[in-house]
Amino acid sequence: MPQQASVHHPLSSTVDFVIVGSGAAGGILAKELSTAGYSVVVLERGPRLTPEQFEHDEFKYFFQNYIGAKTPVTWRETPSQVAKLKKDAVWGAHIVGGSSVHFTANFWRFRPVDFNERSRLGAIPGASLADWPITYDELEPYYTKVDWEIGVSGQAGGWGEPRRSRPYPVPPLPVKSSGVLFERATKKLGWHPFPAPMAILSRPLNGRMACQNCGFCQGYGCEFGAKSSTLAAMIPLAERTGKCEVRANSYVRKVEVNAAGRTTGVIYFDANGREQFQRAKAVVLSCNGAETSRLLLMSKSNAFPQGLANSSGIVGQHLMFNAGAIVPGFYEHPLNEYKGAQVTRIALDWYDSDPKRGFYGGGGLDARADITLPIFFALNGAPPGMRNWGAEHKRFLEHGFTRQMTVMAHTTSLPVAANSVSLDPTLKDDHGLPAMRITYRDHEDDLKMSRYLHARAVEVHHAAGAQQVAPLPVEVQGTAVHLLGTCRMGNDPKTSVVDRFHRTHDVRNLFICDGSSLVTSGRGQPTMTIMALAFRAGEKLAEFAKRGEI
Amino acid sequence: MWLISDWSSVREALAHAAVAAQQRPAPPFSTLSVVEAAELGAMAERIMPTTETPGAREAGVIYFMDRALGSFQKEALPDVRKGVADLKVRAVRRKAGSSGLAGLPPADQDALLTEIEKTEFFEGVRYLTMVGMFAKPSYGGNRGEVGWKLLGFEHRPAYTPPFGYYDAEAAKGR
Repeated sequence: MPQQASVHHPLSSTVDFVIVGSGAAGGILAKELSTAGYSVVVLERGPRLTPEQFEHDEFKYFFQNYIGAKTPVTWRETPSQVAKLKKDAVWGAHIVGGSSVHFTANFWRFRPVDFNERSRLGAIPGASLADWPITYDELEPYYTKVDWEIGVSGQAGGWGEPRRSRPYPVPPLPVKSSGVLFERATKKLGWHPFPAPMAILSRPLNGRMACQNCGFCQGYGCEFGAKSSTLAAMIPLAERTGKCEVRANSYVRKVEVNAAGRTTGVIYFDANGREQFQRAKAVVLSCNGAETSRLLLMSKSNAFPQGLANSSGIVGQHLMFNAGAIVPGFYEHPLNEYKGAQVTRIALDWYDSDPKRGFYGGGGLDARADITLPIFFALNGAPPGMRNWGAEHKRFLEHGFTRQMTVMAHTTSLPVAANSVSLDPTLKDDHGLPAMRITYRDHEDDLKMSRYLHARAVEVHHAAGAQQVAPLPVEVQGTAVHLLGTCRMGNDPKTSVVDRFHRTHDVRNLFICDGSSLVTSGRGQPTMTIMALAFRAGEKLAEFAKRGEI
Repeated sequence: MWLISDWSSVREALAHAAVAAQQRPAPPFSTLSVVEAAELGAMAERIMPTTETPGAREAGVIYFMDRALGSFQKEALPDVRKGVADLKVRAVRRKAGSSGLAGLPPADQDALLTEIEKTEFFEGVRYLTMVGMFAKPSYGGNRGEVGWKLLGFEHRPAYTPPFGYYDAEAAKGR
């Protein structure tokens, strides 16, 4: 899709909406609000890259973290500990299109049970499990919008699939050896595998080209535009309206509020590090499930001493990563998993929480090329117990690189109040702003569920005829990929931050839509739901603007 | 801080370096001294040894390291230098009068590296070795794409199915 010359909104003007963040949610909101006729400025902290800059360069993108998140992170397990600096602890992307540029593109819809588990199961000790203020049925039309407008490959009728109003727009991606082995094994074990829904185009759609099976998805941008990032699918449409300006290299440090308790815009550092003020009638935060909370906490004022929109005191709390397990295995013949998209087959037989298991939780398995790019495999591929250098290791690399696949488990994280994003009391970033402090320890049930599916993943490899299975142990998580739940939506201003339409309970013209809005974690693949929420929020915000309710 | 205080040991190290250098074209290093290059090169060549297939030597890993430690991994240089000094101490302990790791026979080199394999220094050099072996050749290592060939990684811009043995087999059966 050709890029259009974008409108420039001068700083002296007051736009209808300023959107902070251009990722999975921000990119969609930009498109929805600008096509509805509203003036929009999107402030994106990272640079704008063109498709030809998305090189197949493992060192640059994966090891030098070229498009990676730049906020320094300190980490601790419990609130009584002092958090310590942890490098590469959060795997996000600071770039126009956000983490939707580098995601793996697993696009599972949440299921009805994800929205009302609290009512169905009752309280879980040690967690603040809650129902969503909306249902699956309310979100379904927007999941369908994601399928068709963002572009999802798949095949309707997968096991336990909830109601869908339209089939997928394009068929599943070509099955890989991992998918063939996984399908064979899970069927043998009595389970129900099906083609993975992936936000990567198997056929041309909406003027975008189909996947070329290059294999550089997980952690990389797609130079073909076949991966359905908002950079590929939404931002060009937003700019084509002549209403939307995407301002890259713009790092927002504060949301401003006037004496009447309304937001007036945001203060940000521009590409030259100079402070600027963007005025807007309404502010939308879509910075991701950790940075949105950080920005609210940095935006405290006399009127909002605990941080903006935080009268509940829960901004930053209930952080959820999704748990899981990683089980690599090695086979007799080459699979060449480095070719093609990461995942082609999944099974969700364990989706619902089952009291018979004795703990809360649900999840699914996929077969994927998880560690099949050369540097990562050479550094981390050795099975536990094998020396990771020398002649024997070299023989292992020569034989194992093409013969490996991973069965990965994806599971629930319970919302736990102590698991949180807060401001580090001492460490600052290079703009003098507080570092992000993460406090996180998986709920015991999350670890039990991970171990349960870890065992199933081992069974899959054995049933598939693996010559060697090399499971990684299930441990308390020490890095984050999914960032969910820290400004959760709800009807009660005491226990939630935004209402069912993403309006903050405390500030009438401040809206939040991103991973922070999620009330539960789903079973491991949240971006589809973040995008569906963004389409819904875009529609509602446009209605509010039309009625003068912003 | 590692300082050259004893010229005779340096001379010996240079002799070893010269021997090592005979096995490869030897443009000057821009960041590493000849001694440092000999020691790090010897480490890399035990981490990814030349067997019936090419290893770190053929991939030119030491030239990648020289470049990395002078630019994008610059902050690691002081620690690498300390580690190289420590290698010498350990080599002397193993064989009196030894100039360092590069001067030891391979079996002693492996024994010495096993001694330090849990250190940050070793892990850092292992990291640089693997990156030098398997990153794009434009970073200075992986010469002739020997690392990729070793693994069976084709590194083409795009592929068409079937990708591997099992999906090819399944497609035939259909």
